[in-house]
Amino acid sequence: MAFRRKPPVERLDNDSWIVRLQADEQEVLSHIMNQLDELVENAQTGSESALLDRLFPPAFTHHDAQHEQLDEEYQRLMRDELITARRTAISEVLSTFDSAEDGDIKMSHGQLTAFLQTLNALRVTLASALGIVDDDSAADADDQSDASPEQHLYVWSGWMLEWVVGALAETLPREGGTS
Amino acid sequence: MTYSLFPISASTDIITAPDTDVTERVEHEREWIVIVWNDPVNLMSYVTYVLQKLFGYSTEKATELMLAVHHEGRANVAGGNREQCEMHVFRLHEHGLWATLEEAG
Repeated sequence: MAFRRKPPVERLDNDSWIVRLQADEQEVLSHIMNQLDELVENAQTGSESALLDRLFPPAFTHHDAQHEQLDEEYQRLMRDELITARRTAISEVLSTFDSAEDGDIKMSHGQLTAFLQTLNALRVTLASALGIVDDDSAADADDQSDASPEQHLYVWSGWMLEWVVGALAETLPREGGTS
Repeated sequence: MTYSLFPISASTDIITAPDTDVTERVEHEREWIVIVWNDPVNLMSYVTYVLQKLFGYSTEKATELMLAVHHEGRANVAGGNREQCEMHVFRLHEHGLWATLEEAG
């Protein structure tokens, strides 16, 4: 009989989920999240890596000098807040790893949301490291998941992200909202 | 609005100056839009979920916008005054989406 793994994300009740990560997955994820945190922290001090371009994009399209000025103002007011939000989410996820039991990590809605945002941040940063800029390079990265640890992690994070999105989508209000 | 630097009785010269209240009100009332741009890295399900979560869209509407982003390269996902749109953009950035704002029209 083929081994069937339990779903990686499973709802327990209204405000708790189990995220299942194998020991090696947890170890790699912790390591890479700490690296991401370091990169984001460095962005706070002005030494920003080009890998973070997708995490800190401009808010204005820079059609003209006025937009450029508006963007400078926006970045001045919001950038630190964005950095703090990112670092808080990473720290929140890492703290849940400490209480893992046999690979099972219990998360609240807020923690699962932090996991969602951090996984996506990790994925887009890896994409920048892998030079993914268009549909072709994205498809190549998906096809060559074993070519490098970064590519493997990129594909794995997409798979895990799908599970987390699926779990959180169930908590959205029933249809009938603004449309 | 016009105002006189000196009392009218002392001088008939009227000096006009920009009324900051009016300037701010016009700025506040000007319509801006929030645009989400295509990035092949973002999962379609993720983009749909974020649009539903942040803007309360139905699955159908959020999917429609996500597909516009995917196929046309961009979609107008929200509107409002500049301050409101900046906040929308911030929350989209917080979720790792490539979003900008610009004047409507």
